[in-house]
Amino acid sequence: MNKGNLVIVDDEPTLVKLLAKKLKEYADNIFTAANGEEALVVLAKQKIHCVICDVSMPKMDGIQLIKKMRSDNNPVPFVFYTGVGNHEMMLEVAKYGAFDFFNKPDFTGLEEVIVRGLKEGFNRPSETGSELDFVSEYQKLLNEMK
Amino acid sequence: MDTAMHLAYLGSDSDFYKELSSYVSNYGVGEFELKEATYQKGSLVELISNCRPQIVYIDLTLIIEVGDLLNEVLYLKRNTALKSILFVAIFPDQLSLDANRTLLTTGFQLFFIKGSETISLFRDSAYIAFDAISDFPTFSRARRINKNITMGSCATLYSIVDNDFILETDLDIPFDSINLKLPIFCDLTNSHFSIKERGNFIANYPMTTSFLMQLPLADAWSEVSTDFVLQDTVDTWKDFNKEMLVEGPVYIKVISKSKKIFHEIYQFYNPALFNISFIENVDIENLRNTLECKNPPLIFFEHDVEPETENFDQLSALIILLSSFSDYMPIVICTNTPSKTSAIQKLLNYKNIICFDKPLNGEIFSSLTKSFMEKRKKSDSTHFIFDVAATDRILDVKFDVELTSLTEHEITFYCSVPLPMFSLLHFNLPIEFIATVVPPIYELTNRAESNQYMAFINGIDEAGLALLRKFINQIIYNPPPDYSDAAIAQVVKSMNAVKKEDIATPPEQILLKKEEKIEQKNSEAFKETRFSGKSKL
Repeated sequence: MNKGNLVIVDDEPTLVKLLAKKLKEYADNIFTAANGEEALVVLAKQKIHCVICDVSMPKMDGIQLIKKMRSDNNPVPFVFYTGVGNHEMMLEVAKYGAFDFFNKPDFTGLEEVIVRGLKEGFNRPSETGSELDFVSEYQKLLNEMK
Repeated sequence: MDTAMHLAYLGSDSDFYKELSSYVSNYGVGEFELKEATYQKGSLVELISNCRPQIVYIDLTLIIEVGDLLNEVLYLKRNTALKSILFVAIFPDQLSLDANRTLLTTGFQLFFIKGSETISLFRDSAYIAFDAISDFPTFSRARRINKNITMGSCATLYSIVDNDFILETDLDIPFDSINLKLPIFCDLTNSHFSIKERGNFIANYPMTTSFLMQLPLADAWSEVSTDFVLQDTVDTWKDFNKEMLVEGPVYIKVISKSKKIFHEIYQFYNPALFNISFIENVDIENLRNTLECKNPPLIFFEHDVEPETENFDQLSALIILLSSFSDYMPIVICTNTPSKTSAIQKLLNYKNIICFDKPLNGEIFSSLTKSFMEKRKKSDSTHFIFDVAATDRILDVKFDVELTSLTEHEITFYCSVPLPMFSLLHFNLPIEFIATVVPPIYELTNRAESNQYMAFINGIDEAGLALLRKFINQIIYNPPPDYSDAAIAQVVKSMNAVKKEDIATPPEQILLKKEEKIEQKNSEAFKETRFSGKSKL
């Protein structure tokens, strides 16, 4: 069964390597890009199902990248991460649709999020499906409430 | 650009509509557009959603059951964007108004009885809604009265909580007790009720203040007296009025700029289950107060459609506010939000938030609230809410004011407690009428300790108006020593005496006698000859 293709976008090569290693068994192919501009090239050439992206980068940052993707009507899921103190930037990317967020260096649960992200990118849920997901999320919250 | 001021007539009296319409189209000031529609359940909300009139004239001639209408007006008045709409109730006769006193506290601000001058209805409503003024006619004015009278400020009981009751009013009484006649427990003659708590309740009706009031309960050793009510009486009353009382509805807050969402949600609205209020923006101070008092378990937050105009600051501010409460963590349902729930939960560090990328609509609202009600725990609290159509909830808070002038159109008086604009008052001079507080149509002087207010007289039929007119003429020529019930009764007696005299004596002689009386008393009263402009308080 296809797992989907992932691109990791970050200007820190060490972190890109670490993430690629951590996630290799969860994706069919992992591509890398050092900034938003490079990522655009990858996204144009390859069929990408999920993007994992640093928010703050030179040349083209995560905000500009997701903004470009959404203006091109590309709904690919974006998982963002950033260092402490970039809350404002996180709020900005949230406007364009973030799949999930992580605060560096804590990537606990990243694998599970990427699996879900790839799945969603691979097979975008139908409108009814997304509404059902929403209602079931709500039911779960209700059940958890005292 | 559409510069017309929009009005709507909701009713089935085509003659009345035509008459109103002719005044609207020939009015000297501004451009008005009057739309006509008939009333059936839901049509008021639909009308407001479709054409946003600033004045709605609702003709109650053929509306027998007002419960649905009251719920609709109340629902609309809980929407901050619609609060300024003026609802005018039109009755076929005085009896009909008396039978529908529940309208007094639900958001109607002007009351009209057919047969009175329709131009006056339009002039007054246009003044209230648009500040549109051409010329008010000249009426006989009794002025420089400066005597104390007791007025009633229209108020409502909201609920009975254990052995206390919640009173909602526009009068923020600064004392420890309130003077009122309780419409329930009719044997109770005590008219002074102690305030147990003030300011901690958000009014459910369109009122500015609410109080938790103490029922004067007799203790086990008290002798039977009409000054107190027995615990058994309270319990029996609750038991007998079960059908009038409902368990507290769930308070729900909707924050959305959508112009239509209130109409969508109304299709699924059950007033017995929900109390829904709408706001367009997160105003932290107002919201803090509401959330603290009402603890809505569900808050719907709708983002703007375009990401460029999207503002997460509002959502962040809301979540920061919610996080500041120690034991209250409602579910926040974010619609039109492209990001996933887990992303926003982490971003805002708030667990009870869920996101949906589509706009809020009636079906989603219904589905989520229904699930909530299924999971809702049954409350053990004896918190009973008066039905909106229950006449037993309507009462007057009595308060003394200093009457300064009176015409058949307006009344002015000093009041030591601030009165919100457009609040409804009752006077009995000598006939009972409603008075709507308005910005004065001419300059009024204030005092350090009390402001002078003007209120438009309404809710009075032609016969009542004739009586009021006579009363004014009588007090112009023969001012009573005070305005106690006894003194007013004496004035009425004199009026009737004059009437008999009128029949027995030739008119020239009556005129002469009246002139003599004026000279004798050297009365300061005189007829107001012209109206001299207006200014706001």
